[in-house]
Amino acid sequence: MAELRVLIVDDEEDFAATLAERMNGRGLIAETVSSGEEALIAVSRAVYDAVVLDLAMPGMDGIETLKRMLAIKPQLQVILLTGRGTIEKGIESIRSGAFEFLEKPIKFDTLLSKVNEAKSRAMALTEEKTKDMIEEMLRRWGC
Amino acid sequence: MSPDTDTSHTDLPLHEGLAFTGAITASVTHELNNILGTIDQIAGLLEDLAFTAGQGEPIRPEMMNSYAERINTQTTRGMTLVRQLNAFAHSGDHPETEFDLGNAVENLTGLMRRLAGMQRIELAVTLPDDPVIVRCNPFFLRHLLFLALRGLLASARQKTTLEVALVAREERAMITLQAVREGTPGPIPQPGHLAWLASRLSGEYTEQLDGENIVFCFSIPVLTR
Repeated sequence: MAELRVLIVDDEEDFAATLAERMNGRGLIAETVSSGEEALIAVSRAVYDAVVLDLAMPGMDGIETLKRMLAIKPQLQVILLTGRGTIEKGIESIRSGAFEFLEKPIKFDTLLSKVNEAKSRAMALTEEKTKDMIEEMLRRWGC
Repeated sequence: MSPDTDTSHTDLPLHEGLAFTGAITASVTHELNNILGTIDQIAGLLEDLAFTAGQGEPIRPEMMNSYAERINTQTTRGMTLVRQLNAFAHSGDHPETEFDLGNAVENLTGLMRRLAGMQRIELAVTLPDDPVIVRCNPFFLRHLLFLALRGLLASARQKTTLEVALVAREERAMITLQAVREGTPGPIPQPGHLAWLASRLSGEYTEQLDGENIVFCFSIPVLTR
């Protein structure tokens, strides 16, 4: 099975580093960045199966980062992490195209399960897109 | 005018004090949540390590030291916040008391560091070596500083430093807040109860533009130096 690549975006650097270390220990490939701007550079340069994104960050917040990341990679699967009292933002994130939102403090196994679901969804979307492309080509060639 | 919005009477509208307390506690508890979340993940990491050790994988002492250091960093950060929040909570104990203005400035700016940081603004605080003793309402003093700081943060340019300084001169102490302003100069928004708080503290304040800086000054009578 192909390795699962995850990008963790959080200005709480110790939190992000520890989460990445745990994911790496479970065989995933996890990288970290600490701002929305860095996240945009990362997703434009590499392919990730899932992005774990903190909502409350200095400067560009999670929702804005989410929208800009999806503008670069529309099929990107983003899991947003929210603090207490920001559930409304979590709902807004789903409306803005996030795959899921989880409330901090998160349970690691729940997050891992969501990351796996995100990968499956990304694969399903890619398959669907490929199927549509093939059907379109066949239509054009009159097959 | 409803009693809730009328600031001409002796008491500040209840919702203003609650909003101030709420803003501070929301910010601090958010940060405490982050601290606990980090410690929770480090605990998970130790569990993972114990699991692999049970399967015969050797435990590296430097790794254990690194985890202990991370826990230590987070607990120190958390204890500082709790101490600051506790001092803030006790500022409402007495309507008028003698206290060190330097401690109050340090307390409020400490609690507002995260709010400033969210706007990518650093708070630099300069305090005198000696205590600056004043007699007034410690909660109102913090509330006034909060309103002034919040106003400056809303107008300040990102990635700059907001300077806070306390200076004692003869019979008065002066708190100066200075920020680099974003965009073109215009009127500085002031909440109506800033003036009310200043008068209740027997203090005076000015807010002015100085080049591209916004400067807020608040002076208050000092009891002793």
